[in-house]
Amino acid sequence: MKVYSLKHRKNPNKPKNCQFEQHWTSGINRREFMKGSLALSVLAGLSACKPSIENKSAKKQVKLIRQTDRTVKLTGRVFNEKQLLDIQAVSMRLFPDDGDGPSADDLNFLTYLEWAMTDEQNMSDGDPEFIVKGIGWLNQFANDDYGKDFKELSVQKQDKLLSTTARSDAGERWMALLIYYLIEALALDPFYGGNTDQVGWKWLKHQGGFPNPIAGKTYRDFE
Amino acid sequence: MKSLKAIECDVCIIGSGVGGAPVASELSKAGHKVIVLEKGGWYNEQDFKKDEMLGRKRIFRSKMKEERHVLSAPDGDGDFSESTTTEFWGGNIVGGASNFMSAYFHRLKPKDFRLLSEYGPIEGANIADWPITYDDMEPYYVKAEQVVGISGKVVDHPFLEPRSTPDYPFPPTNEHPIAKWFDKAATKLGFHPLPMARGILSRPHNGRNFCEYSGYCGSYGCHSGAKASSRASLLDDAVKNGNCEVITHAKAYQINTDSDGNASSVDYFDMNGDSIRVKAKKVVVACYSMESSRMLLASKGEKHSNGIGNKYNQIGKNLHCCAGGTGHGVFDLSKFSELQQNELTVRGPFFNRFLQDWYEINDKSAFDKPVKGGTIDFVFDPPSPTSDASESRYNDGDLVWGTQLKQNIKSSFTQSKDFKFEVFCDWLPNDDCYVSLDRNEKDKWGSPVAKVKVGFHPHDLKVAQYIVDKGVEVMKQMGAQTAFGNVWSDPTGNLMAGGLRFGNDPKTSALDANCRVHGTNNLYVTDGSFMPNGGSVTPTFTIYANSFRVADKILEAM
Repeated sequence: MKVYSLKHRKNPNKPKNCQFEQHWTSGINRREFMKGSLALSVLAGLSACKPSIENKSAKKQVKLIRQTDRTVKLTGRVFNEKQLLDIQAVSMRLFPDDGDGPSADDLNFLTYLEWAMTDEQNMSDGDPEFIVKGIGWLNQFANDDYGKDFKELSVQKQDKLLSTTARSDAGERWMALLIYYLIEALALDPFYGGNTDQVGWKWLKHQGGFPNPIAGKTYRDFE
Repeated sequence: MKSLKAIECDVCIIGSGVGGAPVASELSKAGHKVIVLEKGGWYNEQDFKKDEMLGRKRIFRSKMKEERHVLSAPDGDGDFSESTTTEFWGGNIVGGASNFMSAYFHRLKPKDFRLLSEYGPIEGANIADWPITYDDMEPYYVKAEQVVGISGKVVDHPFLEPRSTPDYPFPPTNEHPIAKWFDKAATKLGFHPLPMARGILSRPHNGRNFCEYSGYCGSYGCHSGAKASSRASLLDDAVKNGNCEVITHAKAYQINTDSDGNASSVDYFDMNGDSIRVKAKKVVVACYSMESSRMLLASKGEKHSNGIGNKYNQIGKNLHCCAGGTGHGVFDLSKFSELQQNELTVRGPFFNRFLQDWYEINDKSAFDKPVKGGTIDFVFDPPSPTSDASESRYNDGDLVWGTQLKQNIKSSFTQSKDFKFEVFCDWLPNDDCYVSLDRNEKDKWGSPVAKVKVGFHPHDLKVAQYIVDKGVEVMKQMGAQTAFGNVWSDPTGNLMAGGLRFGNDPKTSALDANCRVHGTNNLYVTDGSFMPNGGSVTPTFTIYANSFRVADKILEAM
């Protein structure tokens, strides 16, 4: 019961990334992740490599990041600056500035994501590590194919790489997890950091309820 | 764990929901010392913001890591498969699941009390008449309407139940424009469109405000106090009279019995994990169907080696899970005028309509004799934009992203309007639908969890399909471009009842006509467990009424 109308059977759950993570690190589902148009030679070249994720600077305070037309200060509590820029690049392809409705940047996605990564359940699900790991892989493939990080590629090449990623179960789950959080940034109450000035709700002609969540009465205050 | 202390009272009630609160209110008003044990905390209107995250994060509900149920469900191949679930936890909070109900309040009808006599046996189903009649319950429906505050308007129709009062004490809540569309369509089809009674105030009552019509109802806690949760409507007052104490964060885990087999005390864990004993003259169990069965099964004593009242293995049996289905009418906004579009997209007031033309189905083309049918409620889902948008993530099972994702989401929000109906039928009690104690799973307090087996009778699906088809017909007549419906064979997690059905024969029932556990003289059950069948409506109103009825029986016995 989405908790619920009486017989509600919607499933708003996020994808089971724990399973994804096991697959990813097992090496077997790297093959799944890669299946599709990426050349087998890439796989062969990577087969002996373990994913290399730079986590040491994760707690470093991140500087200002330019987001389209405004500047947003990020906490840097979860992701380092490079990781944030990588996530930003992916998020802007998953939820682009295409002239109809807010983009990931308009939704203040990075700020929302960093905050969401401090949620106890999301942490225990391993989401921060999983997102970082996915970025690492994507950059590795981008470098193998094009000699550059994902964020340096043209949008056409970025989309091509994401299309390949989405064709594998594992890659699809990783993208689905980011989309899960993008949708939270789109449609949750602006109090939680996304949906700036109700930009998401206005686009969707959605009328929020009242009273809205306030400091001291957010879901985390009751946990 | 250590046993710290014992406290005493006249009546100890386990659970503060719709089953427990009327007894707490009535007995404490009469001057008896009442203690209510509630596992959750006390939250009120100021805590209930219209925040989708409260539901997404299961705030005010039990968490999987703390307690769960083992669900044994048909696997589709004639066998049962097991999993653990939290779907049956409706509200870990004072007032229980009634904080998060939609409050569609229907009475049962006289024939629901005599299902076996009226319609005869069905092979494979354990149908039974009730040990009381509708006339015994009727005064308590009236009482509940007045005390907890029920709004609505009585309209005559072929299956209207007898009433001793002409109408509800409060006028109907405000209606959405779609209600008029519905009335026109249903009338054209020869049906009887009926305004829905709600456990929601349309006028201030007893210190509670009327509905604010924010459109965020149902699973959202009520900010105005209009929703007739047992906390807002009863316990807020009861704790002021000096005789009623609600102990929160108190997890009752065992009922102790004396050498005569009667209840002597209840043991609970407080929030520190210490065990505390409440000695009481009367004990009332009202923790939701499977949990009340679990409590009796887990409580063994000198006279109850198999669990309290379980001499004839009736504890936990004949559970029922509310059969039925749902359907939708999707209205393509581009097909309607601007005025009509404005009407369709209003948010705030309620749909508030139902049909009961098929409460009894007398149609030889479908059934060879009259059979018990059901109710169609036309309703709104509580808004959940994040969950709704999440449904646009996939096209035919493939993840979509980029502009396609955005367009999917935008289209689902702005191009059409989806109206819903819910069908309620009897879930026939049967030998494959019952509660037992699981042998492996334990909750965080170390007690075995309830295992819930949910076998269903195929007759339920046939009845449900018949009525779902009628709902689809109405949606089409209303002008929906797309209309469809489905029947369910899985349990409706928030509408479980039975498990401790009442009756005159201890060999086929768990409670007597006064909802006292067979084999005891002072242990009562007042949640929905007592119901031999659920009626073809949501059971909440009947649980309220019955709890007021049993409160009178307990008062007589004090």
